[in-house]
Amino acid sequence: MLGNRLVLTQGLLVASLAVLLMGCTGTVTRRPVDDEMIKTTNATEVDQRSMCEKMARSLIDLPQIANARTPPTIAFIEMSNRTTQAVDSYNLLSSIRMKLLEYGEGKFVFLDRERVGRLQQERRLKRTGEVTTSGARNLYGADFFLSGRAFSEERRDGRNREVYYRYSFTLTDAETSAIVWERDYEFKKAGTVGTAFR
Amino acid sequence: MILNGRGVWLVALGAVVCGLAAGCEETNPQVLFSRCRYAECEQVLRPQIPDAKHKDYALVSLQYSSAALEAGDLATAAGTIAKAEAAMNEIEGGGDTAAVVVAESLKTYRGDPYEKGMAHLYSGFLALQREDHENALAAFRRALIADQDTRTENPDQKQDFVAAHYFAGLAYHLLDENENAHVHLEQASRYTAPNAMLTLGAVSTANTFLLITSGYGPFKIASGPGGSIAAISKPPDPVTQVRLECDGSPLGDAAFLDDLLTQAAAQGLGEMDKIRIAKGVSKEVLAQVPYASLFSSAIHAEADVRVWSFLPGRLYVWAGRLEPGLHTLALRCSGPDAGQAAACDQVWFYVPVKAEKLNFLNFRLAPFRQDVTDKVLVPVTALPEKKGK
Repeated sequence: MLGNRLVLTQGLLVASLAVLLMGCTGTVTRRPVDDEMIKTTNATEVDQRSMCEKMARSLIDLPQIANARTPPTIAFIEMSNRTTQAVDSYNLLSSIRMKLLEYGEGKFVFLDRERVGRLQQERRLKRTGEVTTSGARNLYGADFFLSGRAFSEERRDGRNREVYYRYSFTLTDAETSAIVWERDYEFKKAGTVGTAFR
Repeated sequence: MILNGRGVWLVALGAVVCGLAAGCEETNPQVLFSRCRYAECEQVLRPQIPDAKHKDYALVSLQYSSAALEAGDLATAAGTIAKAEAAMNEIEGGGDTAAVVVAESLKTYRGDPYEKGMAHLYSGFLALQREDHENALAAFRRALIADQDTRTENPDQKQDFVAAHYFAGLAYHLLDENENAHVHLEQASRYTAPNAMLTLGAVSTANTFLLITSGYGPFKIASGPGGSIAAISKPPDPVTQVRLECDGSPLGDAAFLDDLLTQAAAQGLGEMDKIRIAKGVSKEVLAQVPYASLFSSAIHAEADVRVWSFLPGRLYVWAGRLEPGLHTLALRCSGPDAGQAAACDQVWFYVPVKAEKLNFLNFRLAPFRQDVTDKVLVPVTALPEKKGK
């Protein structure tokens, strides 16, 4: 009887230890894209995704895009950073452009203006017969220019941190310079610093 | 002459001592940095950088980045500072509970406001060198935000980081936002002695900007009841004025921007300070009570005295127009003790000033810099490229 009790106690101890140790080991899990495990007051891809979804829907509803016979062409020419985050502006621009294409339902087309030089070289090779071609076509001109600016303002009061973000976008008619669409997307991130850091 | 037995022993002992001395290399990074052996300090510190989750990760990274910066290894400095900044700006975690309940030294080092400000300032300066004006502005704005964390009742002390205002103004000018540039340069002028260099006119015509630093930054001493009060001081700095010459012609004085002891001392009392002092007082009271000294010894009230010790004590800037090419640049130091200040004089040969871009250079003044001979210094960027690589 005593021996059984001893074995049972030892077994419980070992099992408890095993459970505790499992909690100390590193783990890797797959998480949904919109699930943020690490909380930060920085603007993240989750914030960008939400903004781009709204932006794409707004652009699609624009009469110049909704009523166009063929998808209008847009050159995303600038995304300037006036936030307090260290940001690679080109990465930010290409990330937003990619999400707009994803949510745009094919209603507009972006032009790859960064590669125009390379494209013109390829076209020359095709025209001279050095490489094969499936037929000559013109490079697309831009119907619209899209430009953006990211801005943030941070407020601190004691342990509280609040960061306000505003992403402003402008769509300009490339022929007439008329601003046909302009939107601000705003959001706030807030956090409280621990007592030990105040 | 024939050595007797005692003489033989003495010679043998001398040989052993010389052999040992030859094998002894300095490996203390504090000593190496204080002797201006920055490249060696960088080498020693690199393997000491702990895992990113370690409580001293940001601190060791900052020390390493200081050594890299002064050694001219700018890419390493920029990358390391960026990681340290990210760690310092985290909000969650950090051993908050343990620091409050047990001992403050258990918390993750995230730096005081002036340390965060300097990390962001260096980050921005290095971004200016890379011509990344947007990220430079972002960094200088972060430095100004860090200054807002100063726990003081005086609102002026929450916006008096002159160097951050100056360089934010410069960055705004480079981004063609001159109204914002003017605002920040005005703020810079408000909190330091009047200087024509701190104007939009001077900034817009300059092609060369020199960030000059001297002395060493603040350190903390645990004092008061149970060591719960972090008294702040800094080592004496003999330099109070820096005069510049280029190729023998005077360029005028550098403009004084900030004294980091002033920034650090404007702390006020935060929540953690009050908790610590209460613990310290309780500890000392219990120590006097019979049979309660056991409880007293269980209370840890010591202030966290970790600081970024490689920071400079004072910041200066010089901005002006230099002809493109290689120049001899002299920094002549003066102060209350002329002799001690003059020991910090430096002459740099082959300083490159490029025509096609703005030039940003940093100089660390220190007495008798030992990484040079006869105070002849050559910036790393001016050294000829090694052939065959």
